Amino acid sequence: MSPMKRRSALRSMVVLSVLSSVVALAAWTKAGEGQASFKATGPAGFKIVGVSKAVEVKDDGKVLTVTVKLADIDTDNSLRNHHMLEDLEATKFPECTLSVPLDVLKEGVTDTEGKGTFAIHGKTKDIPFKYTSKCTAGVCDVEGTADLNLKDYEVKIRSYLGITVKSEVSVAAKFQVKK
Amino acid sequence: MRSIVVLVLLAAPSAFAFPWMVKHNYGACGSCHVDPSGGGQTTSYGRAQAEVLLRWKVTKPAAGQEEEVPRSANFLWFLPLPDAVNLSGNARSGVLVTPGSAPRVLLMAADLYATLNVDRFVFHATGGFGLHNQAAKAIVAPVCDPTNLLGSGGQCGPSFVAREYWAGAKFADEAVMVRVGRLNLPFGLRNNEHLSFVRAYTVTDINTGQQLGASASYNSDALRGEVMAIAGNFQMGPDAYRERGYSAFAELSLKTNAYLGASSLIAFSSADPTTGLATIRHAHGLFARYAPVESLALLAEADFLAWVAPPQLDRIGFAAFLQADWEVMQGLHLIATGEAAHGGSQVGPSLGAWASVGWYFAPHCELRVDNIFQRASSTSQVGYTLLAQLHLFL
Repeated sequence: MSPMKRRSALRSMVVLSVLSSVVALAAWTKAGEGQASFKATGPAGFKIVGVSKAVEVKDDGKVLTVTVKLADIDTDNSLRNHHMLEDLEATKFPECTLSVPLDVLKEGVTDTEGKGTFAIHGKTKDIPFKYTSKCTAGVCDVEGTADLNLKDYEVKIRSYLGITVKSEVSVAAKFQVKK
Repeated sequence: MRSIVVLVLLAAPSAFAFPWMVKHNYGACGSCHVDPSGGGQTTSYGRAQAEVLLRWKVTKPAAGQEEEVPRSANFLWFLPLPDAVNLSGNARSGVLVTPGSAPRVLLMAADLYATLNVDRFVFHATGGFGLHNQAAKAIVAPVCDPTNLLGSGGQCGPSFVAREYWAGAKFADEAVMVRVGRLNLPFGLRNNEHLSFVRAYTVTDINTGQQLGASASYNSDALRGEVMAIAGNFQMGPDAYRERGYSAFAELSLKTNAYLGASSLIAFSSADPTTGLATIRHAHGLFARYAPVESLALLAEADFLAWVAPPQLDRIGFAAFLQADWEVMQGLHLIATGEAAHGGSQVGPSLGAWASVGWYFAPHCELRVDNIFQRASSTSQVGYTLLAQLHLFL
């Protein structure tokens, strides 16, 4: 590489580094609608899908936190909703959250692995998750999935009329954030 | 083939299955039905869900206001039974009105169901009354001659009817079930409308289409299916009418609200009940269930049919079915169905259109009205039938 080209590359790197530190200083805020869901399974193909249209996203400058109020999750079955809130002791622990350090997150990636802290039922555990983020002009569409084991969070699994849901549950969330 | 259409109109429905429950994320059937592939007797969980999700409700109760276990989930709406014992019943009666004919009052089903669960083993049997020729293929006594089904009309009833009796064992956390006995044939949509061409032409309805055999089923949240070795319907004689072969389906969950399945059936009989010829019957097809929104379920099935009278291919045909089930409010269904079929011998396809209302007006009670327009071939007139039914499923 010629000295001229080396100087030009160095200048570009300095500019990029300054720009990215500016980007890091600006906090992400939620834009548009979000959705969170879970899927639980049981015997003989039994399946429960719960969906919430209310997803909160907060950025404190170090950690991005995705929050879902348990009472907002609808499993299309009022009795089951009631059971879910009871089993998760939602009156004491009304939310579940996934907190991810900002330096873990990357923009414009597909099916990328990350690690965050999931909290539910008053317990927390570090979990791996997969996410995709598509960013255009400072606005990112983010989708992520993770697998949980409710036993890790000391959730007592209920049996109802012969059906017992497995403790392994998959969760997913999608939302839009902007700087 | 025209005789098959007439035959199914005589054999009025008694079955109950809810393939449209896909809109409530119930893609698999085994948690709500004793039969792992769906239809017929419900489990106690299924009866509870019938109260929570099926019954007509003007307003849904708020969280915490529901009964923990609905009283109507019990036998006869009130009687709790031990966990190992499941007793229930199925009663369906109605009126069939055809222009130009006197209305016919039908007793479609009066069956009792019994299931015993012992550890991983399940023993299931049904028994009841069948009148005239409405359940001829399921009659135990007196034995019915299928060649007389369209004859005097009184050859086969009143009679004792046993549609299903089987023993099974569950494995792999209930994902796998092996059964031996008289079983519903695993094929296509397990829909209630077994007057529909897809059920009639493939002879896979859950009203009287059961046969003796052995099956293995698999159910997970992503995939379900069943394969059955058919030994024949031993409630029909002589043996020449009995089919031997297989029937199978597999259904894949594409999304939580979209399912795609494939079915296949090959069965040989020494004397086809319609033609009297030794025949190998083929049916192979695809079916799908999709709930674009919570209140709407779309069901579709298309089957290729062939009848081979060795050594030559005798006839080929098809049967197709498309249904939209719109739950206007919980418990009230408006159902539109279109169907077509060709049995290979008639002129042009048979066509049908149904406009139906299903109202689950009380716990385990359904009032259903079907307006059925069917044309048996392109040279025949469009026939109209009004079928009004009251259905109690205990």
